[in-house]
Amino acid sequence: MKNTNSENQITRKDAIKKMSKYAALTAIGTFVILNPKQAQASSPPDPGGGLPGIED
Amino acid sequence: MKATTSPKLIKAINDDNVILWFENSNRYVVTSSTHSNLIKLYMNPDESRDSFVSHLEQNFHLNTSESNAIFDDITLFLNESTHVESKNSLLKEISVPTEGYIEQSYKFSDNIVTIRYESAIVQTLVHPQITHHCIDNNSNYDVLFDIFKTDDDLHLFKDGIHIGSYKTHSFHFLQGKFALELTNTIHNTNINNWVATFHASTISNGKESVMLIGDSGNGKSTLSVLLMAHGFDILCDDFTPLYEDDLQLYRYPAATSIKTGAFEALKPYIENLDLLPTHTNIAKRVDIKYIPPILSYDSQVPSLPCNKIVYVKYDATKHDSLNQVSAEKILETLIPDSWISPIESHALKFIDWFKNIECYQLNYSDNNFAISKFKDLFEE
Repeated sequence: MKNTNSENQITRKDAIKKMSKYAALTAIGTFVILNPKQAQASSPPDPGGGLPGIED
Repeated sequence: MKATTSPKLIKAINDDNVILWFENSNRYVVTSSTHSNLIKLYMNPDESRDSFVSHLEQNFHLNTSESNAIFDDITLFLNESTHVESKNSLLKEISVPTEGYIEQSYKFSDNIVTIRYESAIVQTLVHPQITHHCIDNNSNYDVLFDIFKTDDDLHLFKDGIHIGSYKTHSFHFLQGKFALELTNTIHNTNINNWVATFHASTISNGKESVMLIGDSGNGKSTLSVLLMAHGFDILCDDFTPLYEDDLQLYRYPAATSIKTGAFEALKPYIENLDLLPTHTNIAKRVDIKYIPPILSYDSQVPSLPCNKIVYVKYDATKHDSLNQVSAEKILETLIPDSWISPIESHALKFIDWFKNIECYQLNYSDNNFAISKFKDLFEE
């Protein structure tokens, strides 16, 4: 199972931790939890990236 | 308790996969028909824990411990799937700047849009993508946007009405909201009529469209421009809206952003590529050029049906290939990258629309291979 957070607030490590949460269900087969974004967005900035002059 | 935690929609999308949709959290779960049947059994109000476990032992050849574990997992999963995280809202009053802004007008068919940017830096958030629609400033506009910054917040106003405020590090949400509002203006509609806005580029042959998805840096935009140079039309770059009435994808008239690495590869195909301004985008840690459409906006259709999605991956280490892939593979990328309306009727329309989508993955490093495969896709 994969768990994807809509706001990219969780790391891959967190996601893997969550994946093991429903071990009995995931053992049976495909079980993918997907959260859409809560708002419209363009491509997000790369990690650590910001817009020059925009961020304080 | 079961009723409040149950998925609102349970829909099979093919022989193998079922989608569960939870209304409270707007969460999708792609799973097997076995899971779906187990969850339906669990949700049956007449079913107790003991009878559920007994059913699994008899029909699924599981032991008591395994059957209890599944019951516990479903209980935990359903409870978590309906949990909604609280949102912080910005309550303080915001005033639109009345002077010192940079004003620019744009024309999209018959619509004149004027934007007042608080500063040149704020202007970089949306102007480069729509520069090709610039006209001389026109006070007789149809819509006025204000985009400005106070402290650590970016604000978007439309005709003096507050549309949204975003932390500066979340500027891509302001860009997304602006894209939606501009789409509303151009297509004369409002947010309540959109089923979804996908993080995708969409290509058309004038009759139908194919959506390109993939992680940032996978080569979607570069491929879009290559396809445009070979006679296809870019319906949308990066932002693809799906309309509720006809379940078609609607045009978003932004220029296509390409990164430094693609400049040389595209030079033979795009006239005067060198003359287009280069924007240094620290957010993406790369230089970017915006390629405007070759054909005029007015000469192109506003919307098209789509029944193919291609997951694009530029990868020089693998053999070029175009293969059909599972719905699950596409949904894993499509859903978390996109906004999907939380309204039940829209969730249902999204699932029904997706049921008819053919799913592909393109691995390519040879441009000619990718172009020929897209020609095939459109001819099928």
